[in-house]
Amino acid sequence: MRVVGTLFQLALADFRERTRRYSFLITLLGTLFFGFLVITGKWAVRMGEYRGEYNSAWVGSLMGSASTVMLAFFGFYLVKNSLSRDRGTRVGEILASTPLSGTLYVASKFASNLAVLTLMATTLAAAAVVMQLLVSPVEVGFDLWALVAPFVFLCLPVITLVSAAAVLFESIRFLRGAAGNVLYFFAAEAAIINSLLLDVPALDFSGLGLILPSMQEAALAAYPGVELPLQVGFLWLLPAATEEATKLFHWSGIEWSLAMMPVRLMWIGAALGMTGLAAVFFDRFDPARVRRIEPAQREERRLTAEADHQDGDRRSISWSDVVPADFDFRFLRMWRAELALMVKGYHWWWYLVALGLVIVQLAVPYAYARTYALSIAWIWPLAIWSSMGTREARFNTGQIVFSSPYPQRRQFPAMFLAGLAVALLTGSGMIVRALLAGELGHVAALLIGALFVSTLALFLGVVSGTKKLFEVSYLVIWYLAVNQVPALDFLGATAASVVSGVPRAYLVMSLGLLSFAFLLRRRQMAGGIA
Amino acid sequence: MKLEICEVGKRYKEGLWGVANLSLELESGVLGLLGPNGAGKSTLMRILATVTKATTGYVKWDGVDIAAAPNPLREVLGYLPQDFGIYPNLNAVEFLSYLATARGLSGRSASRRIDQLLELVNLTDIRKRPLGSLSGGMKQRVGIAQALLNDPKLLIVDEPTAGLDPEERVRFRSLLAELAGERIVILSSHIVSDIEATATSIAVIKKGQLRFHGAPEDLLRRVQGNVWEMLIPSEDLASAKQKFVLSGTVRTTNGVRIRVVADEPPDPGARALLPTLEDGYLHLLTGRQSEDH
Repeated sequence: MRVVGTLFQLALADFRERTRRYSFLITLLGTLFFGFLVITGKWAVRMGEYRGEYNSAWVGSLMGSASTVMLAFFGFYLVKNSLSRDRGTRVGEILASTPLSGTLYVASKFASNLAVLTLMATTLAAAAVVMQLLVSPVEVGFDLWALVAPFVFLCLPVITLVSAAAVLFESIRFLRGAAGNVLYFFAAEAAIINSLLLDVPALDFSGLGLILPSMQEAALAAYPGVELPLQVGFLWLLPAATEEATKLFHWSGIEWSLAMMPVRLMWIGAALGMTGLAAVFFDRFDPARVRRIEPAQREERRLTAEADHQDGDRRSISWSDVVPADFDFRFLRMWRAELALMVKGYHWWWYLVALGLVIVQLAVPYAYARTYALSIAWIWPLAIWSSMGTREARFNTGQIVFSSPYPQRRQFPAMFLAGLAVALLTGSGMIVRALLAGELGHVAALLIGALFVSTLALFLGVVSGTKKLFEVSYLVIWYLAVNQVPALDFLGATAASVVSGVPRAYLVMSLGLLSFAFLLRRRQMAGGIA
Repeated sequence: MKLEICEVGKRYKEGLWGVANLSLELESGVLGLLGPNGAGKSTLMRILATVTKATTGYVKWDGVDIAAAPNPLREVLGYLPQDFGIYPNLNAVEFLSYLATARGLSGRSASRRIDQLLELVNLTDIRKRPLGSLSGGMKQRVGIAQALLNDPKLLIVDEPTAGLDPEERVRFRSLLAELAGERIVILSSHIVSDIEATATSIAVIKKGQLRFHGAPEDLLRRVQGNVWEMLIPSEDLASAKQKFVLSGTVRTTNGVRIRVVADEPPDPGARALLPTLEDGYLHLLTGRQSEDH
């Protein structure tokens, strides 16, 4: 009982800390907005022009499946900060010095993650109730269980798994940063697609395979012989799917039964196993338990420790010997310093891969370079871009940097141009190819794409002070662009989007983002949050 | 060279005043800013360093309002915040070069000054090691070096000796003594001995308000005749702490020798002592004769 009590208290404290932040209120508002998008049909489940009538079963399944997919993707990024917060605030070190076991600590973080995501799922379940009251004809009736059951059977196992995955990723050093964020995105995407495409119930982690085939069967029964392409998601983004679904059919839902429980419980069990694995990797905030230290690094640390313990004053100069300061500000030097700061600290192979990607852009056929090689080259520096505008907050250097003269005129533009330079350098193979091919429209699209990436990074960095907001937002936009959603093709991946003026829209957006970032940074400095 | 602080106040979002109606006028010399934790020292430092804007009042540097035009002050400002960070992947030279560039130093001048400043703060040996691998005291010394990069006319150092070992602390005090002269140095601390060693004037802040500003001798004079010493049994120490303002205790074979700050002798057998700054500071903080300055 004592263990349960400790677990509860730890999870409660973490939950309170999270939910008492202003950012959590914004998250909840965002969740409500997502519910609104589902209610207004921006997120939809349909088969071409066919959809189910808005009864409790359809509305519950629609909102439940939407919540499941949304929380599977974004829930992870929202809760993947629990251990890092304890690391940053050093509360972790205090806890590590108590008899609290690592397993119990990790379990409490898992429980807190689950509580946060459950709160969000409950908010969306409430939105499902509102939706039915708003959009359903009175005669179809109101069935609370049909509305809520999809949240229990679909959403709950998924958020349990997401909560555990967040803890696991935070416990493994390599997965804590941008690499983990990217890896999770693709893993979640593969898992969702798996749910939709594979007819293997045991592998259906989201549970979508329980309801979607049943919906299709109902549609086929109502409209025999018609083609019923299943469409799920933000269909308003796809030009081919912008038409309203006008042909309705009745779907009474599926029989939620105990027989479904074993598979759903299996995923909850997997989540618990994942939490246990996290406890194995958890380093208990011990800085000495880092990855393998190279002999050279070990020697360096030894020398540093030695220098720290040396006795006596070995200075040979006094203040009066120091040469006078001579001032001559050069913007180019500031830009170089920002660029060096931005790209410093990566392994040698990181730069090698970046160079390799430029060579690939030059070597493969134009169409492949345009669609694939550039896309990969522009996801590779994700962690570099995500540091823009966040460094001063993350490393607590704001007071020193912002008390330098003209920080808005010197450091801010230099930082922006350094980010832009990274985009231009990593995409330089494609830019050269387009220039040589005389594709000036494509060249312009690429330059604007580079501008967009760096301004988006700067803007989201300044707004949030954290790397994660850009990493997740950019990953989603990048993914949709790679999948050739025309409105999001900032990469200039298709000739059609270039011709239709998408780059012009991104140019305007980039200039807007840059202006907002500039004004916001000025406001932050004037307000004294730096 | 003149720093004028006029009726400055800073109200935080919660409605609390970090600093209230504070006025000071400073010319070259070392001002020791004393006050208990949470007194408003760091808030005042941030206002003076142009990092935070005052809610009321103004600060002028050579007649120019720093809220309206912060850059003339920033060009001659050296600032060591109480709680500052570093970029862990950079070494000391790279970090200082970055800040020197941001402050507009020429490349040649920056390079020479960085070498010399690292020597001055005893970090030459580890100049090429990543800052992330340095100890707290070493990072603090890097912080001191960055504050001196541009040969500041106004040097603001907030708890600069935090994390320094006793030897480095003494070195820093002598460095401060060297620096005092053609510049204004504001040294904030709640460690009286740091201030005692270097300050040419002292300001004491409590609950955001200025309780005293003057020469160290003035503070000593205020407590002259109010410091006593007496011997008590060890078991009476706890009750003595509750009854009197103690500025020191020394255990002896006969009991505990206590140093008491009080207007009247605490005991007929108490012996009057010469006051120290610590006594004067405690006298101010305990509320007696604290309204005028």
